[in-house]
Amino acid sequence: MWPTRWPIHVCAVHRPGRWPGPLKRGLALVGVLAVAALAAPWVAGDPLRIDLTATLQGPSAGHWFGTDALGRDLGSRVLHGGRISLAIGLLASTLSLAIGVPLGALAGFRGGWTDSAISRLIETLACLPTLLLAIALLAMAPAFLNGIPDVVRVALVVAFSGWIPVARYMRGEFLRLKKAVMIDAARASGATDLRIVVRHLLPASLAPVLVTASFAAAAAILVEAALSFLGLGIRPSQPTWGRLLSDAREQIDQGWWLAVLPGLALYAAVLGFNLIGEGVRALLDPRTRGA
Amino acid sequence: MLRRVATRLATGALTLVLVTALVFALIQLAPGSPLGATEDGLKPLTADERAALTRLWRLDLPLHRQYVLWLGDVLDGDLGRSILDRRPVATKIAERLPITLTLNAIALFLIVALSIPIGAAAALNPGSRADRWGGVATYLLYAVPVFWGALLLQRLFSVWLGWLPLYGSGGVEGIPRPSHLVLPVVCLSYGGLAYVSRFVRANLLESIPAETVLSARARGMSRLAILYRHGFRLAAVPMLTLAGFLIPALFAGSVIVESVFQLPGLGWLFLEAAYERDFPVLLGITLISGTATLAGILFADVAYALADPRVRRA
Amino acid sequence: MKIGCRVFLAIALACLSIACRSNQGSSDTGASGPSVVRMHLPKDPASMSLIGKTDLNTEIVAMRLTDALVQHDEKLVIRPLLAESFDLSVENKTITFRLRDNVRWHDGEPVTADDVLFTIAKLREPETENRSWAPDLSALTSLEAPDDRTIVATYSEINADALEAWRTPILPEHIAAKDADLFNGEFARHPIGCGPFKFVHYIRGQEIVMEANDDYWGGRPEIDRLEIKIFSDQQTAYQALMMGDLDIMVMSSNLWKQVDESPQAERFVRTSYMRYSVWALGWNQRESSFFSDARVRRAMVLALDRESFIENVAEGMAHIGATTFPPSSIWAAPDVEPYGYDPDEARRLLTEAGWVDTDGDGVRERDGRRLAFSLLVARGSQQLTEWMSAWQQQSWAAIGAEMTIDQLEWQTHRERRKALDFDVAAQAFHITDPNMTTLYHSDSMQDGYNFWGTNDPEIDRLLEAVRYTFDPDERLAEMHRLQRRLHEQEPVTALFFFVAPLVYDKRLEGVRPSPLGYANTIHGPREWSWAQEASR
Repeated sequence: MWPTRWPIHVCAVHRPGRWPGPLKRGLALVGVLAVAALAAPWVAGDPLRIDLTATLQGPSAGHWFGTDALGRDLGSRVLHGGRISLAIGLLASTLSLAIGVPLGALAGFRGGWTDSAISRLIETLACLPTLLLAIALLAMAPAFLNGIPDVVRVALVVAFSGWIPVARYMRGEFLRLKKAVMIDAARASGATDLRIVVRHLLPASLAPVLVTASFAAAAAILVEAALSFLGLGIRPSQPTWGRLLSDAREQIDQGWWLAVLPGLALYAAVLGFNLIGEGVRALLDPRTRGA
Repeated sequence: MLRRVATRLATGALTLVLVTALVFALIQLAPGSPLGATEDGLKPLTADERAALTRLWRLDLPLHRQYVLWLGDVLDGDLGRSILDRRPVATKIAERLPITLTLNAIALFLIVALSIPIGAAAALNPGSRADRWGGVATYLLYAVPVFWGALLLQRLFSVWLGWLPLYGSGGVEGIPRPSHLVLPVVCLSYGGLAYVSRFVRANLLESIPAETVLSARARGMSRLAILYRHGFRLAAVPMLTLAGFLIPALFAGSVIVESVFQLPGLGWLFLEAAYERDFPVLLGITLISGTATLAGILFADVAYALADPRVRRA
Repeated sequence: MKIGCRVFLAIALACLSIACRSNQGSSDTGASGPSVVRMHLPKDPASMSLIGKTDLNTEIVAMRLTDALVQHDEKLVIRPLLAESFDLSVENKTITFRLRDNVRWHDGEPVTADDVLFTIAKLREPETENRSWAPDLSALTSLEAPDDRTIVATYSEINADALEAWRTPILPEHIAAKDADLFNGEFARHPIGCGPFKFVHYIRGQEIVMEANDDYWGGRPEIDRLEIKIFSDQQTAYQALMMGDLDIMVMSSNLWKQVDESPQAERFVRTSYMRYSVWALGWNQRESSFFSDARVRRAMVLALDRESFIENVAEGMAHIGATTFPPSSIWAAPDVEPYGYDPDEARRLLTEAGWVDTDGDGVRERDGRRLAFSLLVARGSQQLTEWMSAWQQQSWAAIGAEMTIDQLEWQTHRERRKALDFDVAAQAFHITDPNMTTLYHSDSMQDGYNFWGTNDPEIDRLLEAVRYTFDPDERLAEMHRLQRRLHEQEPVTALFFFVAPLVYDKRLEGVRPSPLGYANTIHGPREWSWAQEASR
């Protein structure tokens, strides 16, 4: 919901040649979550298994994260939920990139009418706050997305509302790159445009794409969780982090583990991807090296 | 420069029309006749009733005519009638607007009022341990998802400590009790506060070159005086650009906060309309939030153009 | 750090002090003011026109402001109210009502038969969208008023529940007839009735306030004012109750437990009453569906451990139903026992019906088709709905059936049901009379509520018998036979009948809950009063 560009370099100073602290921490967080999520089917129990004799129990030896109102093991629900939440987040952000990077790059590189038209499009969609747009889309268009699996449907909606910051960022980056590369091109005599694009522009744009990919992933995971929390995400039988928090909300006066633990997982994921984004930006942005 | 401003406003108006057209199109693409919404209990509609209601909601007209008619109505102040209870959408929105405005106004005020001193304080001692820890703390705070934060606050202050009420506006005459607004406002504003305070800090540091500080310090000025002299003037301008971001963020935040704390505002109305497929209400609120956001963006652009000396010359 | 710190602290302290001060609540509204009772509704009535867009909430409001000719008592027996007597003639197919003498509208005008004629005509108009009574009046061929106090209703065909429709509130013709649009006209802004309470004001989303009618024919109510607060959320209403802003409230089961544990527990009476609201599963019984075989339907019910669910999840706040006839009602057949929990029997029945797991994937098949179906559920505001769906999914997985949950908003849910595009649909029914024709009769497949496609000649015959038998004892016997047949066939599974926990201030007297609610019968707020010294 807030702009993803944190207004100060989180890693202002780092030694060249070494990875910035935040990047390492971010990768660690995301790495742990990813491994846990992938291993879930083997490591955790059945997230759907109901045991009406063991409802609302706190963390114990048998249930590390406690149980919910139907006696389901919260730990396995968090892990399995992670699979779905992360999957949707990554799928959605990939789609956002697929739409946003070309559009933004095109606008920045070509300029003129192309830029105006694309900027109009971006501005139009940017007027609708991301979450509102996603809610409206999900609520309003379930049927023409009906044959598709739930996960893909939600990912599409999240992607559609998430490509705008990507496009904006890429446009800005390409405007900057255009200036930088033009100077070089002017200096290097006889090089064709195509060569410039391939030899200089594409490799230079790798860094921004990585940066925006991380932030897009964080945003996508957050939006998906918000949608699930509000009851608009995927089908109710599947646990996702947002849905687990929504369950906890109904029982706000019951176990603390219901609200705290799934939220912690979500927080770790969002924070992790944000840190990776900051870290990559610092790593690859020549302005922050040394000094 | 006036031409620049005029052009900007013109493109803004175009964007607004595109916004409404887009949303209208999306909603029309959805299946499900609004006629379904009036079936209640155990007795379905008769053919007569069905025909009467079809005429009532212009469902028999082609799409573009529905849109044009709707646009005309909007300019007259008529946003149509809700499908759920046949009341005018404008009325429903007007009823719910006060709470949303109150919440957002308080949140906005808090964000601006608190982040300037906090950001300035942080800018006084850049690089110190307190500053760095402050930076980490605000970053961590900023990343907390709003709905999780809301649940945690509820648990802590309502359930565990019992200091604050859990839900609702608590209002007896429609005016919410202050104690019921504390947690919602905190949830709405903590993200903005974290962000803007860092923004202020960064701007202050950037806009006052290091040499100026050194020379001023050499002349015996305290850090605070330096800030006053040079910093605030220069930092104020970029802060205006935040208006374009703050408004959509607050709207999105309102949806979650109002839903979690059960405050009858616009955000919650939007959510209900989404659940119930109440298209007129959905469109109406989208229009309002889109307009407000666009207004914010335009304000930010125009204010920046007016204030920035470089742009003024162009 | 100084300025920022100070500002921040100042604001924080201010907020905290405001918060703590206003949290003390406002439980005294004046020692010797008028006596007020505050109750609550979960949402605004769909319309204040009293007969339009009727639902439970409009009925509650309407019943206070204006009387109907007849009304239910707490056993759901029809009793005369505005009519001092009524006579149903089976041979003539008429009902004759005799209005009470000297009943006046709140503005002083006398209530006459013309008002009744006007009201009935108005509610039969399609624009009024009266879903409660208009359909039952479709067989009404003429309505006459031979004199000011007599009304004769003639039907083309009359059944034993004909009187139910006459529970409609009566509107004053001299006011309501002047409105072109009943929903938005003068009447809806300020409804005038002849009931025990007079309308004072209505603030949408907040409250409906009424005051006692001094000239009410049945005697002035004991209390002076009735305020109906609108709280869409249970928690908010609960807090209002604790703070003294509400005096009586129906709540969810875990809030009910909380009252016990709260320090204010002695202020309240905690009770509960059985509601005639049933959470039911409607099985699509058409040829091509999974559930055309009664054995499969029975197997599905046997696989559900309902007792355990009630005890562990619903806090004991529900009862198991055998059929859609409420188990605590006078119509319930004592010899019809609900199915218990027997997963082995369930498996046996499925196998017998031809569903066997041949490929070992845990899901049964028959003729190459997997027993994989979807449950159609409306998106509800109750967490309980989701839990029930998840519980069903797991229970059925244990006997080899794979269920997915299709949770949709009300509108789409209705449409899919009407289009017969579902395998099993879950929803709540509110039962107010023993007439189940629209649910089960084969004729109701087109015009009624029989979306499940129940097509059993025996059930049809029994439904008609119940409808057209006028002798009470014989009618009851037919109801029992119907229930036996329904239990056998299980076209609709009545999963749970819910119990409503009710909490109210100890000093409030005269509260008589019924299956229809604590405020929905001939009794209700007009009989409430505060114990002597506690006037608020």
